[in-house]
Amino acid sequence: MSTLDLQQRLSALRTSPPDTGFERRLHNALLREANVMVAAQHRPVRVLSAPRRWFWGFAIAALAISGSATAMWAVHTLRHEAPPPGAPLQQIPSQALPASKPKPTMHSPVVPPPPDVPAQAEQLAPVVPVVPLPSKTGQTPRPAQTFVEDKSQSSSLTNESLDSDSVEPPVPELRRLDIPRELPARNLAQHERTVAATRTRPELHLPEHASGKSVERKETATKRREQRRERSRRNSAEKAERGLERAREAQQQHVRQR
Amino acid sequence: MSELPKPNDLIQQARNGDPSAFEELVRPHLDSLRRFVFSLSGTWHDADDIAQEALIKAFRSFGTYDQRAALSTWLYTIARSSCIDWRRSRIGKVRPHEPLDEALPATAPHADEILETKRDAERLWQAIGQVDEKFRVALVLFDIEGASYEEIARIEDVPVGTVRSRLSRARAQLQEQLNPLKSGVVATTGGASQLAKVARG
Repeated sequence: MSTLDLQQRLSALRTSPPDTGFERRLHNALLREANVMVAAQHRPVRVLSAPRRWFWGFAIAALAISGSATAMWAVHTLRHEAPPPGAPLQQIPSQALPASKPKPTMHSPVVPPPPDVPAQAEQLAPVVPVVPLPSKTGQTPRPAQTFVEDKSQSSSLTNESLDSDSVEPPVPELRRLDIPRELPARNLAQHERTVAATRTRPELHLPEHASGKSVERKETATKRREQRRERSRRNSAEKAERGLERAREAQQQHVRQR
Repeated sequence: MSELPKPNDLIQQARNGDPSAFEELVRPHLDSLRRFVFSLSGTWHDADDIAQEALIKAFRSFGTYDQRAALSTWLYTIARSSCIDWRRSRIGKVRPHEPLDEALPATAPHADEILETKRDAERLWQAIGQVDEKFRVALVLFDIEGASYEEIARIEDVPVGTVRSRLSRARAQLQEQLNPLKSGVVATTGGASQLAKVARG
């Protein structure tokens, strides 16, 4: 088949395609599309006016700032109110505490506490002897202490303050009562052995300023440094002399050769 | 495929989103556009869908039509890219060319002529469907739709020399496809049954 024949046959295919309702479908589709385009053009775009934008901006910023400030305050408060790690939580019996009263101010009359309160507190406050543990450094252990609220002092203070019309009435101080745990006999013996072994070489644990060793060490270091400097000065002087001698010899040799 | 001068007001109206003006503009190109898409898709059903999609795209972006090229060239370009998109969306679902006995219109008055025309057209379309798509576009646009080399080059975005070589290769491939078909189709049962059907009706 020649190319011409082929072209003729192909051009014969240029007939109208079958009627499948394409034009009608296209017409409807175009109308739909036009409606969509018109709707998209006329769709109102909601834009906030400038004052509203400012208002909402400030509101959001204020909320953010106050939120972060609250969070920081909460963290700070929690951190400062938290008991030290390892401290046993001690709940003071409510009867031992004086009834909470408003703090007297400069202008408010000071009402003395009822006389039965200290006695009651003394009666109810637990008296716990603290057994001191021997320290590792071999220092003399402190005598056994009993952390009991000094009622007489506090009451006297209260009286004094009341007498002198003090502004701040003493608030009874709440001390943490250290309740020692009893060590088992085995642990205690082991601990004593450890302490005894430590006592044999107390200088290891003594602070430097106490033993005067740091001063000695400093002096020694200064001496060594001076010696080192002296030695290096001497060496450099020797070297210089040797160099001079060598130069002189070389000069003499040169003169001799000439 | 000469472009008749279109009144500028129609173009302006179409740019403003008037669908009837756009329809007026594209109506002369609808048949050739559908044939072109059919040559790439294989069925008239798919061809209609793709052509409609391409025309909707053209309507949507008619504001970008700068009239430097003919409207038919612009439409062919859009149709070509729509065909590529359609082909990508249907990877693995390739359908063969549908038989043309229902698709092709009956133009010849006598039954024998009708049958012969149909058979020839079917053979040809089947053979065209076997040609490489890259070469098929040039063949369909040049030999069937009557586009020029320059127009095809613009549609395919290739140099004119490439169009020429593609056309030559397409013709060679088509001839290779037609020669065995010519000898085999007459003896097929399909051809005999069609003959009997036409003779009855």
